[in-house]
Amino acid sequence: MARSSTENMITLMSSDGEEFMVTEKVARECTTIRNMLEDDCVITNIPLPNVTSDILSMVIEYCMEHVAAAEKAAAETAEKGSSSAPAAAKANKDLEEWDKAFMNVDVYTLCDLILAANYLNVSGLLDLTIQTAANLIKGKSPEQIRKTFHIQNDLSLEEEEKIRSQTPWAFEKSE
Amino acid sequence: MIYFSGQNSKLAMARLLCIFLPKIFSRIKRKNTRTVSKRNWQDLPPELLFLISQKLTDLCYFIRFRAVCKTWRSSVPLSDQPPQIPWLVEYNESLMLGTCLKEKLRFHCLASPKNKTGSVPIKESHRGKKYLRPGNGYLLVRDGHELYLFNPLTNNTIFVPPLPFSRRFLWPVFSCSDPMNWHLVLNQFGNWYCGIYQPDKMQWKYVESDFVCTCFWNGMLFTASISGCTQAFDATSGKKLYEIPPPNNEDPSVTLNGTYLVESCGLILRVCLVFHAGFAGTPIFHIYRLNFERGKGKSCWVEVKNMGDQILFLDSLNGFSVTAPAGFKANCIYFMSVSAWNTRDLDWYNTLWRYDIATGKVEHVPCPFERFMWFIPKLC
Repeated sequence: MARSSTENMITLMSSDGEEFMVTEKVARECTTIRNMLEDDCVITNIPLPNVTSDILSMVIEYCMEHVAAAEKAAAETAEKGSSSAPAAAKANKDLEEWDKAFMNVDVYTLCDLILAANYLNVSGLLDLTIQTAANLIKGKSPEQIRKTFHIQNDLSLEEEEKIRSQTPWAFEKSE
Repeated sequence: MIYFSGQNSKLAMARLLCIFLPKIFSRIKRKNTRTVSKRNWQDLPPELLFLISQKLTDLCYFIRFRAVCKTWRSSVPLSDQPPQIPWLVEYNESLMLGTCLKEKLRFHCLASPKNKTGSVPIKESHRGKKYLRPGNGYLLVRDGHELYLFNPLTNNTIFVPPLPFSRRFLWPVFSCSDPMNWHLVLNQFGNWYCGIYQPDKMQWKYVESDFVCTCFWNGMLFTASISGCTQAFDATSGKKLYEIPPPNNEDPSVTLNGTYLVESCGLILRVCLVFHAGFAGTPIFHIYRLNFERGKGKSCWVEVKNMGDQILFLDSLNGFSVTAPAGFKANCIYFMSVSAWNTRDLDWYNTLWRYDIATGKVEHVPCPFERFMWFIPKLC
């Protein structure tokens, strides 16, 4: 397609100095980068001091997958005049499956991904990671949540007792 | 973007790179033995912890989230409770005579596994009294000749001024949208009183109407009367403002207790339950939205086929609308009925159903209680 032949490449540099070359379209998935590009369209090298290389590579992987899915859907629409509903539903489901597999990470990586998605402003990834964190909290007691996320309990016994006595029904073990 | 013909070969290279990039990435990922930055969940910025907390659609999970550590607790105040899927509370006795408050109020959250129930302890001073109806964070409790509103989660009570009539039977309806400006409507044999709650007081206004259901929005009380007309009243003065004729194609088989007025994201909806092939047949809902134009144009009802991300919850008297949280089916109606369709006894609503607005499919929703009522839990 004529459109992609004019596509620029952009280099993203992680905090530990690794360089990642991506198409402008993929980079634009990050609103933070999109804003930079709109302010200054000749920029080709963007340092990202808040994101390490392993996390940045994951963010790019996510953006590439989602750009590819959107392009595929657009191409199908252009081909057939209109996208068929079952095909679109299947594509959506495939992407959801991909997201789910992509979220199979440890809690440290998840934490870094949330921070990176927030910093780079990738709304889809932020929502996905936040929802994944929430899913890890659901159904657990505070102690189980601490264990899952490796959090130190800094509440005093009295404080904990007070919290529990205010809403004892919320701490009942029932699952 | 300016296009230079001399860059063709460069661009071809770039495209090639693009094709191989995924491979490069997967290599990087495998190569890197993660130099763990030991980012701490405890140090996550408050705005991100807030986002996580807002995905916890069961209030128990939200409270436990706030009991994990100091940062998590201070990042999200109790008043920032996430949007709730309503609870079902056990409701044992006849609707108009109320249910006795016992030691505990048992509840079930639809966002939780189907057999999970919890129970809120009830303070001794409230036990033995009858609650007439739950709604909007409060239970309406009768204590002899007095009425008061009681939040079982906070023990907060609001006294309701005495009504100018005897009240053995009451038919209260809560509106559920705005927590700071809601209303309570009471009926006694055709006499309707509208109570407007403001943070410090509650006032009664007599409303002259023969209506069967109401909803409240923006200082106006909307009522649907037996004749099929909808009337809009100024809730503070009780003055009638507008009268809107019934929807053009409304099915004549719509029954009085099958009509609901529901406020949803600033829209006034008329939700009509009809039964295909007679009263024992399949239930079908017709939804209309009020094309209101503030009384300037000709107000009319427009049929709605899609409720987007909303879920409607109906009981035997009224309904409310909630934005579907992630993982929850949107564009559907939860409604209650008697186990068989063929009785109109309002006291025996004991079966919960979910109606898919897009397909018209009706599904039975299991509930751990024999009889129940909706309740929106509020922590503040």
